[in-house]
This record gives sequence, structure tokens and C-alpha cells, in this order.
Amino acid sequence: MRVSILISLFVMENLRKSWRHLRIYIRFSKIRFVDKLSYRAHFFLVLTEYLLIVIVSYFLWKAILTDGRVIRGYSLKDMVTYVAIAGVFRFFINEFSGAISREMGGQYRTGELIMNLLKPVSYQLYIYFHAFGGILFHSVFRIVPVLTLWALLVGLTAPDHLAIFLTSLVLGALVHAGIAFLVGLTIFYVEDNSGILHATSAIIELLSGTLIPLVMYPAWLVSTMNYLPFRFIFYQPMEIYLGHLGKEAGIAVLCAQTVWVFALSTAGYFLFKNSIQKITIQGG
Amino acid sequence: MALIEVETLTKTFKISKRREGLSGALMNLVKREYQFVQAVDNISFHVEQGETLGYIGPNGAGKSTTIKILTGILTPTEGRVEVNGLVPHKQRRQHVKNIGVVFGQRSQLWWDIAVIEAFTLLRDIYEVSKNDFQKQLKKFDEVLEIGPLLHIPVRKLSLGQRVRCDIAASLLHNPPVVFLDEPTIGLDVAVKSNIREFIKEMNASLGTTIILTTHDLSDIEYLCQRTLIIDQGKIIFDGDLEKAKNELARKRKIQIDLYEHIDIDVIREKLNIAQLEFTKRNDYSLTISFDKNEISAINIIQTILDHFHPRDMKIEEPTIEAVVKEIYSEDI
Amino acid sequence: MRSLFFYSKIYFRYLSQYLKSRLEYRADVLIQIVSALSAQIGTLIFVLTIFNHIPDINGWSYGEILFIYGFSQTSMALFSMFFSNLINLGRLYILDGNLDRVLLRPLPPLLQIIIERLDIGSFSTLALGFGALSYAAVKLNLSFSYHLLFFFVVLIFSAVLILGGVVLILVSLTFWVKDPTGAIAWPLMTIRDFAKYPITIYSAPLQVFLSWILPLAFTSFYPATLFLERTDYIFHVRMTPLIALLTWGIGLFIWKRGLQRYESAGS
Ligand SMILES: Nc1ncnc2c1ncn2[C@@H]1O[C@H](COP(=O)(O)OP(=O)(O)OP(=O)(O)O)[C@@H](O)[C@H]1O
Ligand SMILES: [Mg+2]
Repeated sequence: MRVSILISLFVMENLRKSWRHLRIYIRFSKIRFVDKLSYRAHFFLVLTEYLLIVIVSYFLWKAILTDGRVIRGYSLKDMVTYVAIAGVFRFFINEFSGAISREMGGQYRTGELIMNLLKPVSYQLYIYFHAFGGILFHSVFRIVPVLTLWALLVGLTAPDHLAIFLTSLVLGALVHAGIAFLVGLTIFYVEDNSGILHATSAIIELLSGTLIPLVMYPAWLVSTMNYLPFRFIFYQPMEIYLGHLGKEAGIAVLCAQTVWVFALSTAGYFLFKNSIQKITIQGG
Repeated sequence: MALIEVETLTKTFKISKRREGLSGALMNLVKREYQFVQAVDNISFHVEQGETLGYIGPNGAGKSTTIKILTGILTPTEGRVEVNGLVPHKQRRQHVKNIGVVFGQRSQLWWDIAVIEAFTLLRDIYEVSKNDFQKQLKKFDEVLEIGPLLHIPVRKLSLGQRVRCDIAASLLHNPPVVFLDEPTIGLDVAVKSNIREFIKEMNASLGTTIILTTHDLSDIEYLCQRTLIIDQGKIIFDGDLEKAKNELARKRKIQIDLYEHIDIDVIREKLNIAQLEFTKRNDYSLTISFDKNEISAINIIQTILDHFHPRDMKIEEPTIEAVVKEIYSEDI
Repeated sequence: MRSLFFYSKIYFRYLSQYLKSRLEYRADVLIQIVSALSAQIGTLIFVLTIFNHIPDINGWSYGEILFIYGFSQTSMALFSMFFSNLINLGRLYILDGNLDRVLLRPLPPLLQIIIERLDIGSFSTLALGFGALSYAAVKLNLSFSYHLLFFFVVLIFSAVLILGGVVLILVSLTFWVKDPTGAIAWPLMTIRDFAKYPITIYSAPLQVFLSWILPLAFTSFYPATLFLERTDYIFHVRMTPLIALLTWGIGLFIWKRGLQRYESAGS
């Protein structure tokens, strides 16, 4: 009896503590969120940009899959949904590249990164949450409007296993954040890593399936990608959405994603620790 | 016709106001509020060929804005500007051939290339002959000691080193009109006095017309026969600051230290002059302030010597800073 | 004549300066070249993958699609080689106040901005585009003559100018729309994807939009049809140089107007 009270006290105390911590991190998210709102022209421009991307891919696939053509199980109806979601998903790719990798580069150059190390928060978590603010922003102000518009004008199929899909989308975002953090660390080793950032964005687009459903690639490439984390960012959640994977397979995906999240973030943690030891602050 | 003519010049900036917080940010997305800043507010002045004009004022007064208009970077909202018979923002390319500009706050050099490379690039742009170029470089090296900096990329220079290179770069083509916006920012004492000397020399031997803004009033004291003071976009003083010092700073102070305990009433009684202000500093020391046009300092000192046992006495000359401060505060 | 000599001299001086400063970091240059390639290769992989499964897109064969892609990529690579700094104009020059420095020099400001940077990565994308173009030409057994070569040069040149003009128009708007990101022209880089495919796949209003409002179709599809021996678009091919002049004209006009609104930075 006594023991259980003690344990519950201990748990509560810890929950309270982590809640306090979490509140600090959520503040970082909020900063990014509000920050994104302050660029008015940019806001509408980017909205248009992504709508246009979806439109290009839509027409392209319409031309490719005419007359009831089906490629590796993907019909036009599947692709109409796929490209819409892939199109808006590019927001995420940009956000992670911008708010994590590029942000780290900028902070490194201005010396802000060092200043942030002095704060009593984990830099990695701070950067993650910073990006989550942007992700939330995109979800509310861009993805929802674009998809609503798309559903009304062209049509969207409803997701199978909504809960599993959403969970895998969140885990996919965490996989992505882990990769972006690792990419951001390259700033410690090269003078200007903007090229690397561009390249990784392009690679992620190709290998996460936002450009083409991965099954359409040649067989050797498909089997190689089973060993890489990229497909868990977008392609696997989409397979769940479209009902190409059953419930069991879906849950297996969630497990694999969790393993990747853990592996990538741990790698990020240790590499970051390693990198800051060789830091050279840039003169102003 | 004067070399530089500025008539009823006004520059207004439109700034969008940001609302605070999340709901504010949402509001901003829909509707913006604007605010207008009169950075330069209806000013007029002329500068003759060969003058060295000091241009001073508190932060945000509008000095840099004026310089940017005179150099053709900004287009005025209203008013007329002419330099050397050219309207800077309209005939800009012709105009900038004849001027040299230094913004101490911000380098005009290319960030990534070595100083000497930047110089030779400028040599080609301004079509300076190789001979003249070498001569100029030698001269600058003597004054600004840039020799050791020549092969370093600009971004790796310290503030003071960079400013020195910027000054040299802006004068390579021997411009007849020079605008210096805080050129002595971040410079050490030795280089600063070298530069002053150099500017003075340039003005005397080549007849270069110079407009100089600075927060270091000793620069002004040393270099400028005439000074403009601007505050909140308006010119509040135009003339010789040295004279202004004599006219405006009528207040003098004498600091007196005595061996005995000070009793102000006793001293006041002995001096027996109205319009004196007494400030006790501690038990053995006090300050007497007075208007030097009405009361002679000698009188006060004599009386003190006659009646008390002073250990030390000090007359405080008004500094130029005090004068400028007074001009600023009168304006407000 | 003298001024032409003067400007070319200045151009090469800037260029050599830029290259010198870049080559200090050799590893970076290599990374840039490789990464530019990987950033541009997506569409190619897309096309290759899709044609593994189907014989044609909307009546356009593999070779034809590849040719259009190659043309689009070549003009884009040349655009980024010479005009890449235009895209930075909004943020780096207009909003950060670096235009001050440019305006203080007795050279045309746009010229200075254009020659201050050369996108080294674009060499690799040029090779990629030109490679695709040549491969497609051989595969399609396209006829070749000096006549056509001349047209090719004129059309590529026009396409580059159109891209430059459109970007100039968009970035010049930064003088009015002072969006702090200064990224008005960035969406164009993605919208350009439209031009990588035959315009016939889009709906009619979109085709009009891409031809007469945002004339991206003139940077790839229309000029390419001349060499693909499709005669339906000969009017558009002839229009291409004109559109180029027009976009540059409008761009220059807006730029000049915008300069008067330039506010520098508070510093
Ligand atoms: N680009 C700009 N946009 C908006 N407002 C500006 C801009 N440049 C200057 N201002 C405003 O105009 C006013 C005058 O600025 P200016 O830079 O001319 O001052 P200054 O006298 O040079 O000050 P300092 O001594 O600090 O250099 C300030 O209130 C400033 O906020
Ligand atoms: Mg200033």
C-alpha cells in the first residue's frame, strides 16, 4: 500500500516535471508557428505554389494512366489521391529541411547555436519542436485547405484505417526529423552545406515516394529501399491510407517506424555531441 | 551655385506594424497597419566646394538617410537635391563616378574576396590608371596601414580593419566629393588620428568636399568649420560649432575643495552675489555654477582665497559634448 | 564599341574573382556540382520509370518526352549559370540592403548583380540536359542541319531570356510587396515543372495560362517541337524570341520603377 502511494507520487512528480519541460518545448513550436504567419505574401504564394504542384502531377498521371491503365496496382483513382497528398506533403519535406537542417546551419554561422547550448534544454529536442511548430502551421493553414479544395474539385478517396494512418504519418515525421538533424550536422564539417541540403531534399522526394509510388521503381531498387528509412516517411503511410496494406501489415509498419525513429535520433544525439567538441565559432 | 544643394528635402518611410501574439499574427495575415516615419523632414542646406561639413545628431535622427539620398541610393519623397549639377537618384551612374562613400556600419566591399582583389576590381570599374593606383595604394598604406591586410578576405577582417579598407576603397578614384558616414567607428586611437590628419590633408591639398557624420565630436571639432545638427529629421543647428560653444555654453563651473568643513550659507554670504548656484559634493567640497557673461570667475576665486583655506580649485570648461547636448535638449 | 570592350573586361574580372573565391573550398564545389545534379535528376528518373511501364504519354513517345525534358533542362541550366543571382535579388539585395553597394558603383545595377555570382552547380545540370537532348535526338533519328543549329541557338537563348525576364518581374515586385522572406520568385522554380512535359497534357485554360500569362511553355515545349518535326506549333516557335524580348522589357520596366521605391535597410 505504502509502496504504491510512493510510486504514484514519484510518477506524478515526474509527470509534472516533464510537463514543465514539455511546455518549454511547446513554446519553441509556438514561436515557429507565429513566425510563419507573419510573412503574408509568402503565405499565399506558397499556398499557390503547392496547389500548382498538385495540379501538374494530377494532369501528368491522368495522361499516364489513361484508358484504365494500371501500374503495379495503382489506378488513376489511387493516383488522384496519392498526388494530392504527396503534393502537400512536400510542405513537410521543406519544413524539415528548412526548420531543422538549414536552421542549424544558420545558427551555426551566426553563433546562435552556441548560445542555445547554454540554455537548459536539449538542443536536439529544441530543434525538433521548432520544426513541429511549422508542421502544425502547414497542417492547419495549407494542407487542410488544399486537400479540401481538392476533395471538392477532383475527389479524394477516404483513408482505410485512419488511426493507423495518422500514427504512421506522425512516426514518419519523426523519422524525417531524425534524418534532417543528421543532415544539419554536416555544417560542422563543410563551409557551406546548402548544396547538401538541396540534394538530400531531392533524394528524400525520390526515395520517400512523394514523386512516384516506390513499387513502380525497378525491382532491385525496391528491394534496396527496404533497408533504408526513407520509405517510412511517406510511402508506407500512403500504402496504409490507400488500403494496400491490411491492419496487421500496418501495425508492422508502425513498429518498424518506431525502431527507425529511435535509431536515427540516437545517432543524431551522439554525432551532435561529437560535433560540438570540434566547434569553431565563426568570427563576425 | 553651390556644389551640393538640398532644398525642402523630405523622406518618409512606411513601416508595417506587427501585432503581438498568435491572434495578432492571424490579424496581420488579413490586414496590415502602417506607420509613417519622417526620417528626413523638410530640410534645406547648401555646401560649397571645398567645405568640410560635419553632420551630427542623435541615433535615428536621419543622418544616414540624408547621405543615402545625396549618394543616389534613395529617391526622396519630396524636395530637390543636386550635387555637382547632377540629380543623384536620376543621373546616378554619372554621379557616383564623382563621389566616394564610406558607410562605417556596413562594408561596400565584396565579402568573399581578398582586399587587394577588391581594390583592383574597383580600379577597373573606375578606370584608374595603373600608375595612379599604385600611388594611391602607397599613400593609403602610410595612413591606414592596410599593407598587411591586403591578402585577407574581407569577411575575415576585424571591424576596424574593415573600415580602414573601406575608406581606402572609396577614395581609390580620387573623388572630388566624399561622404563619410561614421568612418571612425571601431578604430583605435592611433589610426583614428591618422585618418583625421589624412582627411584634413585631402581637403586642403585637393579641395575635396567632405560631408562627415560621426558620433565622435572630437572628429567634428578637429575637421569641420561648419556643422549641421539634425534631430528627428529636422535641422536644428547650422553653423560653426566652436562659436556655438562660446555662445551657448555660458554656464561655467568651479569646483572647490576646502580644508575646513563647508557651510554653504557662510560661503554664500561672503561671496554676496546673486545668481550663483551651489552644489555640495561632500563635507569638504562644493561646486559653484554661474553665467560667465555676468560674473567673472576671478571674483569668486579671489573671495574664496581671502576667506577660506582652499586645498584645490578647478574651473570646468564646457565640453563640446555638453554644448551639443544643450542644443539637443533645447530642441525638445 | 569601347563600352562593349569595357563591359566584357569587367565581366571576366568579376567572373575570375568569383571563381577564385569559390575554389578556395574545393570540396564544396564538388558537393555543389553533385548535389545540383541530384536535385535535377528527379524528373529524369520519373520519366525513365514511367516509360518502363507504358509506351507513350498522351501520344508523345519516350524519345520525344526526353527531348522536351532535355531542352527544358538545358535552358534552365544556362539560366542558372548566368542569372542565378537574380533569384536572390529579393532577399539578399533589396531587403538586406546590399543593393546600396551596387548602386554606388558606376555600372548598371542589374549587370553587377548578375555577374556577382555564377552557379557552379549548373555545369552539371547543363551536361545532364544536353546529354538527354542528344540521346533523344539520336534515338529519334532527328535530322540535323546548320540551319537547325542556328534556330536551336536562337531558341535556347530566347528560352533563357524568358526565364530571366519572368524571374526579374517577380523579384522586382519585392520593392512593393516587402515580404521579409523575399522569396517571391522561388515558387517559379517548382512551377517550372509544368514546362518539362508536353503542354498538351494540361487542360485548355492551363495551356493558355502557361503560354500567354506565365510563358513557361515557350522555354521548352514550343521550341522543342520545331526539332521534333511537329508542325502544329510553328506559330509559337516563331513567337518565342518575341516573347523573350517582351518579358525582358516588362521586367526591366518594373525593375526601374521599383528602384525608385528602394528603401535600403535601417542598418
Ligand atoms: N529602410 C528603412 N525603412 C524604414 N525605416 C527606416 C529605414 N532606414 C531608416 N529608417 C528610419 O528612419 C529614421 C532615420 O534613420 P537613419 O538611419 O537616417 O538615422 P541616423 O541618423 O543615421 O542614426 P544613427 O546615428 O543611429 O546611425 C529612423 O527612425 C529609422 O528607423
Ligand atoms: Mg546612421
